[in-house]
Amino acid sequence: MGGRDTDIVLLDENGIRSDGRKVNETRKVTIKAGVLKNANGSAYIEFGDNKILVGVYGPRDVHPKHMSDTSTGILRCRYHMAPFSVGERKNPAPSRREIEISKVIKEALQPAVMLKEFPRTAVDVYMEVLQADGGTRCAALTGSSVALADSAMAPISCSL
Amino acid sequence: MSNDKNRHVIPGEVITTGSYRSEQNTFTEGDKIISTVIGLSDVRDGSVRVIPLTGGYVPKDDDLVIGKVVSHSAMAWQVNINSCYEGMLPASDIFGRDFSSHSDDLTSKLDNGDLIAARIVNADKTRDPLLTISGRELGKIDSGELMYISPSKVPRLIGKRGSMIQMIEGATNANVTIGQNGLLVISCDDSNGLIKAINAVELIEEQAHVANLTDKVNEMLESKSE
Repeated sequence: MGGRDTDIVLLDENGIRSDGRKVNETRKVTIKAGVLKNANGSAYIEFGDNKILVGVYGPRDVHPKHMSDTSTGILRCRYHMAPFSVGERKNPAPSRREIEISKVIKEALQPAVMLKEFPRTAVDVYMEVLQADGGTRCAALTGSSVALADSAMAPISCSL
Repeated sequence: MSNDKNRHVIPGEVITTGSYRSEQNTFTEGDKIISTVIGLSDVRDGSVRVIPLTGGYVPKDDDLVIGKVVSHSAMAWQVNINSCYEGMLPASDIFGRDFSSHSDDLTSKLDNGDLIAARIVNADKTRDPLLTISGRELGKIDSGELMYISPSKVPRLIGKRGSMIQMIEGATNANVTIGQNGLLVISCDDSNGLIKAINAVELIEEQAHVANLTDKVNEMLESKSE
Protein backbone atom coordinates (compact mmCIF):
# COMPACT_ATOMS: atom_id res chain seq x y z
CA MET A 1 0.00 0.00 0.00
CA GLY A 2 2.81 2.38 0.82
CA GLY A 3 4.36 1.80 -2.59
CA ARG A 4 7.32 -0.18 -1.28
CA ASP A 5 9.11 -3.13 -2.90
CA THR A 6 7.88 -6.50 -1.73
CA ASP A 7 11.22 -8.38 -1.85
CA ILE A 8 12.54 -6.32 1.04
CA VAL A 9 14.21 -7.96 4.09
CA LEU A 10 11.85 -7.19 6.97
CA LEU A 11 14.36 -7.84 9.76
CA ASP A 12 18.11 -8.08 9.29
CA GLU A 13 20.62 -10.05 11.42
CA ASN A 14 21.28 -7.01 13.68
CA GLY A 15 17.65 -6.83 14.71
CA ILE A 16 16.98 -3.72 12.64
CA ARG A 17 13.73 -3.51 10.72
CA SER A 18 13.54 -2.57 7.06
CA ASP A 19 12.66 1.03 7.87
CA GLY A 20 15.59 1.40 10.28
CA ARG A 21 13.71 0.86 13.55
CA LYS A 22 14.74 -1.61 16.25
CA VAL A 23 12.50 -4.56 17.04
CA ASN A 24 11.00 -2.83 20.08
CA GLU A 25 10.84 0.65 18.65
CA THR A 26 7.51 2.34 17.86
CA ARG A 27 6.88 4.50 14.87
CA LYS A 28 7.47 8.22 15.28
CA VAL A 29 4.36 9.95 16.59
CA THR A 30 3.65 13.66 16.16
CA ILE A 31 0.38 15.22 17.29
CA LYS A 32 -0.66 18.82 16.83
CA ALA A 33 -3.85 20.20 18.38
CA GLY A 34 -5.94 23.13 17.26
CA VAL A 35 -5.06 23.05 13.55
CA LEU A 36 -8.51 23.92 12.17
CA LYS A 37 -9.95 27.37 12.73
CA ASN A 38 -13.60 26.58 12.03
CA ALA A 39 -13.80 23.44 14.16
CA ASN A 40 -14.46 23.53 17.92
CA GLY A 41 -11.55 21.17 18.39
CA SER A 42 -9.06 19.64 16.00
CA ALA A 43 -5.90 17.61 15.80
CA TYR A 44 -3.42 16.45 13.21
CA ILE A 45 -1.59 13.23 13.90
CA GLU A 46 1.34 11.63 12.14
CA PHE A 47 1.90 8.05 13.19
CA GLY A 48 4.82 6.81 11.13
CA ASP A 49 3.65 7.39 7.57
CA ASN A 50 -0.01 7.70 8.60
CA LYS A 51 -1.32 11.23 8.37
CA ILE A 52 -4.75 11.94 9.80
CA LEU A 53 -6.70 15.12 10.33
CA VAL A 54 -9.49 15.17 12.92
CA GLY A 55 -12.13 17.84 13.43
CA VAL A 56 -14.62 17.97 16.31
CA TYR A 57 -17.81 19.99 15.98
CA GLY A 58 -20.18 20.52 18.83
CA PRO A 59 -21.92 20.18 21.10
CA ARG A 60 -24.41 21.53 18.59
CA ASP A 61 -27.98 21.13 17.39
CA VAL A 62 -28.90 17.68 16.17
CA HIS A 63 -29.98 17.38 12.57
CA PRO A 64 -32.09 15.43 11.71
CA LYS A 65 -34.08 16.43 14.82
CA HIS A 66 -35.49 12.95 15.48
CA MET A 67 -32.00 11.67 16.32
CA SER A 68 -31.72 13.92 19.37
CA ASP A 69 -31.99 12.43 22.86
CA THR A 70 -33.53 14.45 25.69
CA SER A 71 -31.52 12.62 28.35
CA THR A 72 -28.06 12.80 26.80
CA GLY A 73 -26.01 14.16 23.97
CA ILE A 74 -25.09 11.90 21.08
CA LEU A 75 -21.72 11.19 19.55
CA ARG A 76 -21.33 10.75 15.81
CA CYS A 77 -18.08 9.67 14.20
CA ARG A 78 -16.99 9.49 10.61
CA TYR A 79 -13.79 7.76 9.67
CA HIS A 80 -12.95 8.38 6.05
CA MET A 81 -9.99 7.67 3.81
CA ALA A 82 -9.21 10.25 1.17
CA PRO A 83 -9.02 8.93 -2.40
CA PHE A 84 -5.32 9.85 -2.46
CA SER A 85 -4.48 8.26 0.91
CA VAL A 86 -3.42 4.96 -0.67
CA GLY A 87 -1.39 3.91 -3.72
CA GLU A 88 -4.32 3.18 -5.99
CA ARG A 89 -7.23 5.60 -5.93
CA LYS A 90 -9.79 4.69 -3.30
CA ASN A 91 -13.43 5.27 -4.07
CA PRO A 92 -14.43 8.15 -1.79
CA ALA A 93 -17.81 6.61 -1.01
CA PRO A 94 -17.87 5.12 2.51
CA SER A 95 -16.93 1.44 2.25
CA ARG A 96 -18.09 -1.35 4.57
CA ARG A 97 -14.71 -1.16 6.27
CA GLU A 98 -14.99 2.58 6.94
CA ILE A 99 -18.53 2.24 8.27
CA GLU A 100 -17.39 -0.42 10.71
CA ILE A 101 -14.33 1.55 11.85
CA SER A 102 -16.53 4.62 12.40
CA LYS A 103 -18.81 2.53 14.61
CA VAL A 104 -15.94 0.97 16.54
CA ILE A 105 -14.29 4.35 17.18
CA LYS A 106 -17.61 5.83 18.26
CA GLU A 107 -18.06 3.06 20.80
CA ALA A 108 -14.49 3.51 22.03
CA LEU A 109 -14.92 7.25 22.59
CA GLN A 110 -18.45 7.26 23.97
CA PRO A 111 -17.67 6.34 27.61
CA ALA A 112 -14.87 8.93 27.73
CA VAL A 113 -16.99 11.90 26.67
CA MET A 114 -19.30 13.66 29.12
CA LEU A 115 -22.32 13.64 26.84
CA LYS A 116 -24.75 13.69 29.79
CA GLU A 117 -23.74 17.30 30.39
CA PHE A 118 -25.20 18.33 27.03
CA PRO A 119 -28.62 16.75 26.47
CA ARG A 120 -30.34 17.29 23.10
CA THR A 121 -27.08 18.00 21.32
CA ALA A 122 -24.67 16.15 19.06
CA VAL A 123 -20.89 16.01 18.97
CA ASP A 124 -19.49 15.20 15.55
CA VAL A 125 -16.01 13.79 15.09
CA TYR A 126 -14.68 13.75 11.53
CA MET A 127 -11.51 11.78 10.89
CA GLU A 128 -9.91 12.18 7.49
CA VAL A 129 -7.07 9.83 6.61
CA LEU A 130 -4.78 11.80 4.31
CA GLN A 131 -2.12 9.12 4.02
CA ALA A 132 -2.47 5.52 5.14
CA ASP A 133 0.30 3.12 6.09
CA GLY A 134 -1.34 0.57 8.37
CA GLY A 135 -2.74 1.25 11.82
CA THR A 136 -4.96 4.14 10.77
CA ARG A 137 -7.81 3.24 13.08
CA CYS A 138 -5.62 3.44 16.19
CA ALA A 139 -4.04 6.65 14.99
CA ALA A 140 -7.49 8.08 14.20
CA LEU A 141 -8.70 7.18 17.68
CA THR A 142 -5.68 8.83 19.32
CA GLY A 143 -6.14 11.91 17.15
CA SER A 144 -9.85 12.04 18.05
CA SER A 145 -9.17 12.05 21.77
CA VAL A 146 -6.74 14.95 21.37
CA ALA A 147 -9.26 16.82 19.22
CA LEU A 148 -12.00 16.19 21.79
CA ALA A 149 -9.76 17.47 24.58
CA ASP A 150 -9.00 20.53 22.45
CA SER A 151 -12.74 21.17 22.07
CA ALA A 152 -13.19 20.92 25.87
CA MET A 153 -15.74 18.18 25.33
CA ALA A 154 -14.10 16.58 28.32
CA PRO A 155 -12.86 13.12 27.44
CA ILE A 156 -12.53 11.95 30.99
CA SER A 157 -9.96 9.24 30.61
CA CYS A 158 -7.79 9.97 27.62
CA SER A 159 -4.53 10.42 29.55
CA LEU A 160 -2.03 8.85 27.22
CA MET B 1 2.68 14.05 41.76
CA SER B 2 3.36 17.64 42.73
CA ASN B 3 0.66 19.68 44.38
CA ASP B 4 1.61 23.02 42.93
CA LYS B 5 -1.09 25.63 43.20
CA ASN B 6 -1.31 26.37 39.50
CA ARG B 7 -0.45 23.61 37.13
CA HIS B 8 -1.37 22.86 33.53
CA VAL B 9 -3.69 19.88 33.45
CA ILE B 10 -5.28 17.86 30.68
CA PRO B 11 -8.60 15.99 30.76
CA GLY B 12 -8.32 12.80 32.77
CA GLU B 13 -5.30 13.98 34.72
CA VAL B 14 -5.32 13.47 38.49
CA ILE B 15 -4.90 16.94 40.02
CA THR B 16 -4.56 15.84 43.61
CA THR B 17 -5.64 13.17 46.04
CA GLY B 18 -7.13 13.52 49.48
CA SER B 19 -10.10 15.18 51.08
CA TYR B 20 -10.67 18.14 48.83
CA ARG B 21 -13.93 19.58 47.62
CA SER B 22 -14.33 19.08 43.88
CA GLU B 23 -15.46 22.27 42.15
CA GLN B 24 -15.59 23.66 38.57
CA ASN B 25 -14.43 21.31 35.81
CA THR B 26 -13.39 18.48 38.08
CA PHE B 27 -14.87 15.22 39.27
CA THR B 28 -13.89 12.70 41.91
CA GLU B 29 -13.12 9.03 41.61
CA GLY B 30 -12.43 7.50 45.00
CA ASP B 31 -10.18 10.09 46.66
CA LYS B 32 -8.68 11.26 43.38
CA ILE B 33 -9.71 14.60 41.96
CA ILE B 34 -9.60 14.58 38.18
CA SER B 35 -9.76 17.38 35.65
CA THR B 36 -12.29 17.37 32.82
CA VAL B 37 -10.74 20.13 30.71
CA ILE B 38 -7.44 21.56 29.55
CA GLY B 39 -6.62 24.35 31.96
CA LEU B 40 -4.85 25.57 35.06
CA SER B 41 -5.54 23.77 38.31
CA ASP B 42 -6.27 25.87 41.36
CA VAL B 43 -6.00 24.17 44.74
CA ARG B 44 -6.90 26.33 47.71
CA ASP B 45 -8.80 26.23 51.01
CA GLY B 46 -9.61 22.55 50.65
CA SER B 47 -11.23 22.96 47.25
CA VAL B 48 -9.99 22.16 43.77
CA ARG B 49 -11.06 23.77 40.55
CA VAL B 50 -9.69 24.06 37.03
CA ILE B 51 -9.68 27.32 35.12
CA PRO B 52 -10.36 26.27 31.53
CA LEU B 53 -8.19 27.46 28.64
CA THR B 54 -10.54 26.34 25.88
CA GLY B 55 -14.21 25.67 25.57
CA GLY B 56 -17.54 27.07 24.53
CA TYR B 57 -20.28 28.74 26.49
CA VAL B 58 -22.74 26.78 28.62
CA PRO B 59 -25.71 28.86 29.78
CA LYS B 60 -26.00 29.43 33.53
CA ASP B 61 -28.70 31.16 35.58
CA ASP B 62 -28.29 34.93 35.98
CA ASP B 63 -25.63 35.24 33.27
CA LEU B 64 -25.63 38.39 31.17
CA VAL B 65 -25.36 37.41 27.51
CA ILE B 66 -25.33 39.23 24.20
CA GLY B 67 -27.27 37.50 21.48
CA LYS B 68 -28.69 37.92 18.03
CA VAL B 69 -32.36 37.39 17.24
CA VAL B 70 -32.49 34.67 14.61
CA SER B 71 -36.19 33.94 14.28
CA HIS B 72 -39.50 34.20 16.07
CA SER B 73 -42.65 32.19 16.52
CA ALA B 74 -46.06 33.49 17.59
CA MET B 75 -45.07 33.57 21.25
CA ALA B 76 -41.29 34.02 21.47
CA TRP B 77 -38.08 35.07 19.81
CA GLN B 78 -35.25 32.62 19.21
CA VAL B 79 -31.90 34.14 20.10
CA ASN B 80 -28.46 32.88 19.11
CA ILE B 81 -26.40 33.19 22.29
CA ASN B 82 -23.25 31.53 20.97
CA SER B 83 -24.01 28.27 22.73
CA CYS B 84 -25.22 24.82 21.76
CA TYR B 85 -28.64 25.86 23.03
CA GLU B 86 -30.68 28.63 21.47
CA GLY B 87 -32.05 31.24 23.88
CA MET B 88 -35.80 31.83 24.09
CA LEU B 89 -37.16 35.29 24.78
CA PRO B 90 -40.91 35.12 25.44
CA ALA B 91 -43.02 37.85 23.85
CA SER B 92 -44.72 38.60 27.17
CA ASP B 93 -41.34 39.80 28.47
CA ILE B 94 -41.62 42.87 26.23
CA PHE B 95 -45.33 43.28 25.61
CA GLY B 96 -46.32 42.59 29.20
CA ARG B 97 -49.04 40.36 30.53
CA ASP B 98 -51.70 41.48 28.12
CA PHE B 99 -49.76 40.14 25.15
CA SER B 100 -51.94 38.68 22.49
CA SER B 101 -50.52 36.82 19.55
CA HIS B 102 -53.36 38.17 17.38
CA SER B 103 -52.97 41.88 17.91
CA ASP B 104 -49.26 42.27 18.69
CA ASP B 105 -46.61 41.92 16.04
CA LEU B 106 -43.32 40.61 17.41
CA THR B 107 -41.24 42.14 14.63
CA SER B 108 -42.39 45.63 15.67
CA LYS B 109 -40.18 45.36 18.77
CA LEU B 110 -37.35 43.06 17.74
CA ASP B 111 -36.58 41.92 14.22
CA ASN B 112 -34.34 39.17 12.96
CA GLY B 113 -30.71 40.23 13.14
CA ASP B 114 -31.19 42.60 16.09
CA LEU B 115 -28.64 42.38 18.88
CA ILE B 116 -29.85 42.22 22.46
CA ALA B 117 -28.27 42.15 25.88
CA ALA B 118 -30.25 39.68 27.97
CA ARG B 119 -30.10 37.89 31.26
CA ILE B 120 -30.67 34.14 31.58
CA VAL B 121 -33.60 33.41 33.84
CA ASN B 122 -33.67 29.65 33.65
CA ALA B 123 -31.10 27.29 32.17
CA ASP B 124 -31.90 23.69 33.03
CA LYS B 125 -30.83 22.05 29.73
CA THR B 126 -34.06 20.06 29.43
CA ARG B 127 -35.39 22.98 27.44
CA ASP B 128 -33.88 26.03 25.77
CA PRO B 129 -32.56 28.69 28.19
CA LEU B 130 -35.14 31.35 29.02
CA LEU B 131 -34.05 34.96 28.59
CA THR B 132 -35.29 38.28 29.86
CA ILE B 133 -34.47 41.80 28.74
CA SER B 134 -36.17 43.63 31.57
CA GLY B 135 -33.51 45.10 33.79
CA ARG B 136 -30.79 47.69 33.88
CA GLU B 137 -28.32 47.57 30.96
CA LEU B 138 -30.51 45.01 29.19
CA GLY B 139 -32.45 45.33 25.98
CA LYS B 140 -31.82 46.04 22.35
CA ILE B 141 -28.33 47.22 21.41
CA ASP B 142 -28.43 50.04 18.87
CA SER B 143 -24.84 51.17 18.62
CA GLY B 144 -21.31 50.19 19.52
CA GLU B 145 -18.56 47.91 18.34
CA LEU B 146 -19.29 44.19 18.59
CA MET B 147 -16.37 41.94 19.50
CA TYR B 148 -15.98 38.27 20.14
CA ILE B 149 -13.54 36.60 22.53
CA SER B 150 -13.35 33.03 23.74
CA PRO B 151 -15.94 32.55 26.55
CA SER B 152 -13.24 30.93 28.70
CA LYS B 153 -11.37 34.25 28.71
CA VAL B 154 -14.29 36.37 29.88
CA PRO B 155 -13.40 36.12 33.61
CA ARG B 156 -9.90 37.35 32.76
CA LEU B 157 -11.30 40.33 30.87
CA ILE B 158 -13.49 41.27 33.82
CA GLY B 159 -10.73 40.73 36.36
CA LYS B 160 -11.00 40.39 40.11
CA ARG B 161 -14.15 42.24 41.17
CA GLY B 162 -14.21 43.94 37.77
CA SER B 163 -10.75 45.48 38.15
CA MET B 164 -9.55 44.87 34.61
CA ILE B 165 -12.63 46.14 32.84
CA GLN B 166 -12.88 49.14 35.15
CA MET B 167 -9.28 50.01 34.28
CA ILE B 168 -10.02 49.83 30.55
CA GLU B 169 -13.21 51.85 30.90
CA GLY B 170 -11.45 54.44 33.05
CA ALA B 171 -8.54 54.90 30.67
CA THR B 172 -10.59 55.12 27.49
CA ASN B 173 -13.95 56.57 28.60
CA ALA B 174 -15.56 53.64 26.83
CA ASN B 175 -18.59 51.73 27.99
CA VAL B 176 -18.11 47.98 27.69
CA THR B 177 -20.98 45.50 27.99
CA ILE B 178 -19.57 42.01 28.44
CA GLY B 179 -21.69 38.95 27.81
CA GLN B 180 -20.63 35.78 29.62
CA ASN B 181 -20.95 34.06 26.23
CA GLY B 182 -17.88 35.88 24.90
CA LEU B 183 -19.64 38.62 22.97
CA LEU B 184 -19.07 42.19 24.02
CA VAL B 185 -20.13 45.60 22.86
CA ILE B 186 -17.86 48.60 23.24
CA SER B 187 -19.30 52.05 22.81
CA CYS B 188 -17.24 55.20 23.03
CA ASP B 189 -17.74 58.73 21.70
CA ASP B 190 -14.03 59.20 21.15
CA SER B 191 -12.65 57.12 18.26
CA ASN B 192 -9.16 56.96 19.79
CA GLY B 193 -10.59 55.62 23.02
CA LEU B 194 -12.58 53.05 21.08
CA ILE B 195 -9.48 51.81 19.23
CA LYS B 196 -7.55 51.67 22.48
CA ALA B 197 -10.28 49.69 24.20
CA ILE B 198 -10.45 47.24 21.27
CA ASN B 199 -6.67 46.79 21.37
CA ALA B 200 -6.80 46.18 25.11
CA VAL B 201 -9.46 43.48 24.68
CA GLU B 202 -7.43 41.86 21.89
CA LEU B 203 -4.34 41.87 24.11
CA ILE B 204 -6.25 40.14 26.91
CA GLU B 205 -7.66 37.56 24.50
CA GLU B 206 -4.15 36.81 23.19
CA GLN B 207 -2.39 36.65 26.56
CA ALA B 208 -5.12 35.49 28.93
CA HIS B 209 -2.88 32.78 30.39
CA VAL B 210 0.05 35.11 31.17
CA ALA B 211 0.69 36.34 34.70
CA ASN B 212 0.72 40.08 35.51
CA LEU B 213 -1.66 40.78 32.67
CA THR B 214 -3.13 43.77 34.50
CA ASP B 215 0.25 45.55 34.48
CA LYS B 216 0.71 44.83 30.78
CA VAL B 217 -2.71 46.17 29.87
CA ASN B 218 -2.15 49.22 32.05
CA GLU B 219 1.19 49.85 30.34
CA MET B 220 -0.42 49.58 26.91
CA LEU B 221 -3.27 51.93 27.84
CA GLU B 222 -0.86 54.54 29.18
CA SER B 223 1.68 54.30 26.37
CA LYS B 224 -0.91 54.95 23.72
CA SER B 225 -2.38 57.94 25.49
CA GLU B 226 0.81 59.96 25.27
